[in-house]
Amino acid sequence: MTHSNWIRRLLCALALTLGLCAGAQAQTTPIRALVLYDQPDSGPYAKLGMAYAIMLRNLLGHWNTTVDMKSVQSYTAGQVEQYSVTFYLGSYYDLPIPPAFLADAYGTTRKIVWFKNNLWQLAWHPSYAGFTAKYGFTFASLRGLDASPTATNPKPGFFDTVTYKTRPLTKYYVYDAATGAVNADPDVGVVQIFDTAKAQQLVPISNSRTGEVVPYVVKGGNFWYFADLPFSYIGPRDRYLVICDMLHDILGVDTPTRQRALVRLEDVSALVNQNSMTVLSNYLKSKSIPFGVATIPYYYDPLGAYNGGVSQTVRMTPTGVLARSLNYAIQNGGRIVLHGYTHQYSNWKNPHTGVSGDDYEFWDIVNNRVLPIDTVAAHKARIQAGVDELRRGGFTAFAWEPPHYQMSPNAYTAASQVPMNPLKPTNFTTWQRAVYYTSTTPNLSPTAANRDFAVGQFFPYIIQRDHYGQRILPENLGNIEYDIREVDPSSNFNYTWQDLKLNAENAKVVRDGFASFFFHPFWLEPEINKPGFQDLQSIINAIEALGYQWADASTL
Amino acid sequence: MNQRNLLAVAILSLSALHAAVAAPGPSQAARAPKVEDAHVDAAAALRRPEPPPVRAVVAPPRPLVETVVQPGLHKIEKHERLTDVLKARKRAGRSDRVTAD
Repeated sequence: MTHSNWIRRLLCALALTLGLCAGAQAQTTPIRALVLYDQPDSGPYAKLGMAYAIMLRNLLGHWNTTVDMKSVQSYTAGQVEQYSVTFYLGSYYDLPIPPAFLADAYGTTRKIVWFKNNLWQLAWHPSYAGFTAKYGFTFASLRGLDASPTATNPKPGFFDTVTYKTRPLTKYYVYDAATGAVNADPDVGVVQIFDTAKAQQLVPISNSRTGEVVPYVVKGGNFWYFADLPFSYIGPRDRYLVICDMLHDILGVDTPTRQRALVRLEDVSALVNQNSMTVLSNYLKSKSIPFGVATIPYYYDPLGAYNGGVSQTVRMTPTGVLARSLNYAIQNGGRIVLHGYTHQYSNWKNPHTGVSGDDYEFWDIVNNRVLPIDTVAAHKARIQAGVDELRRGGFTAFAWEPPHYQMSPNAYTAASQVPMNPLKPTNFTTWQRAVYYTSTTPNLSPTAANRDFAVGQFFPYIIQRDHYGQRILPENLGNIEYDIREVDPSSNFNYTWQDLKLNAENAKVVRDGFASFFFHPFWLEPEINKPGFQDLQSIINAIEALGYQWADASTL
Repeated sequence: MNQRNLLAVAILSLSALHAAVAAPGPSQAARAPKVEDAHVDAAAALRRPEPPPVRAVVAPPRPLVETVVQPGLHKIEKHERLTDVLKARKRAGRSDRVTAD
């Protein structure tokens, strides 16, 4: 070997080593992200921007990230350089943006992601006259509903359909002819691309009435633009899935396509029908599908709603019908999820009967506010009581699921601090959709000065850390429901297995997305007289046909 | 929204749009002519042309139809009543009593 060859080989080995180290570092070093939102001094929408910021922050928790949130009004010069990517959520029409942020957003080589409003303050500003030349596109106009809806023309049209990976994702729209209210977020920022060598339309949005098409997501160099705030009126068939998936590209994290499925049997308590649980466990075992069992360990009917007016309690025992059902499920692939301590609160009707499984446990739904005792310590104690009650029957859960998917901010914080399994004291996994609030003790009255917002959010993938510090396994398809108004006039809603299938089809646009749903075993009870078991099999088969792979939630 | 409210919204929106277009922006207001400007030598003005006026950034017109915007899910999809099964059992002539066994 010549001297020069030896040096060449040494340099190659060194370069390879450095390259590998760099690759490993890219996976382990948190990505720093800044989320800026609009915060006017006052008004009914002063905190709306923060609500959107929380939702984006939650999605960013899917990756190894460090996220800071602040109002754009509090931005100080140079901050964008401290982050790999800065998001600006333009939720408030023409709210003045500090010159320091305009200058930094224009001058930086870091990634900038701008949503909807106020791009004109940058793109049309004479100090940044080179905007179009630099990024290849500019802001053109705002567009909304094509006309005011009327009783005879209830849907006059707007840019309502985002097409992503060939899937049409339709924005929510409901017009109430009686009140004239339009429940929708139809406004979009329209940009015009001038130089296709610099700017690319990544995703289009179309007006299904007129056929017009404009960019929904455009990227020019390091600058990304989304035409709307993708966090309003979200749903499992909605354009929300676009930002969920495109964050992979924005953050630059190379993620292979891997799509998995989860199923959970819901609200299993002392009311359980053991035969139904046996049928379901046998079926899922026959399909080699691991499944969650959301368990309410303590049955409580404080007002005696189903006990002749006399308070009734059914505790967990190792030999009762609940324990027998759980044991059979576990033997056949079931994994226990703690679904509340009692799944009701005190001796209240909150809001229905006060009975376990009917009511909210960690949120005053009647008054839409936190419970009278709302401390992290009190909620931790209650969740721990649920853990202990399960153990009376000899069971250990691997995850927590909030009753009725809603708790107070302090209760969510508590849930992130109570391990389900004493042998795994650092495991705080939850399995849920969640509600996020713009303060710890929110005032949600629509007429309150500086009112707060509560936003429900589902996730198409695992969130390692959300706004409250929770780790969240996704539930994104919903559940099969039947109209049983003959049993209860208010239980009058159908949600079919075909609805879940459509949700699962749309969820496929997320490269590492899940098809995750839950099912109530009581739909198998003969007294209900619905094709629950048949429909469960239909959705299971449909999810498999879509290419999802069943996963054991307790191992995720 | 009834016709009268729609009309009111339209008038308010048009008024706001007119005000936004007609009113000078902050930079224009700052450049209001001063008294001494009247004494500027015309020839000097030709030698030293004014810099181009700073263009105020006037926002684009806002869409006229107001809507109710809700952040997050429009429905939580989780309000089932577990005790419906007790009602169904009772309705079918079975006991709706709950026991540990």
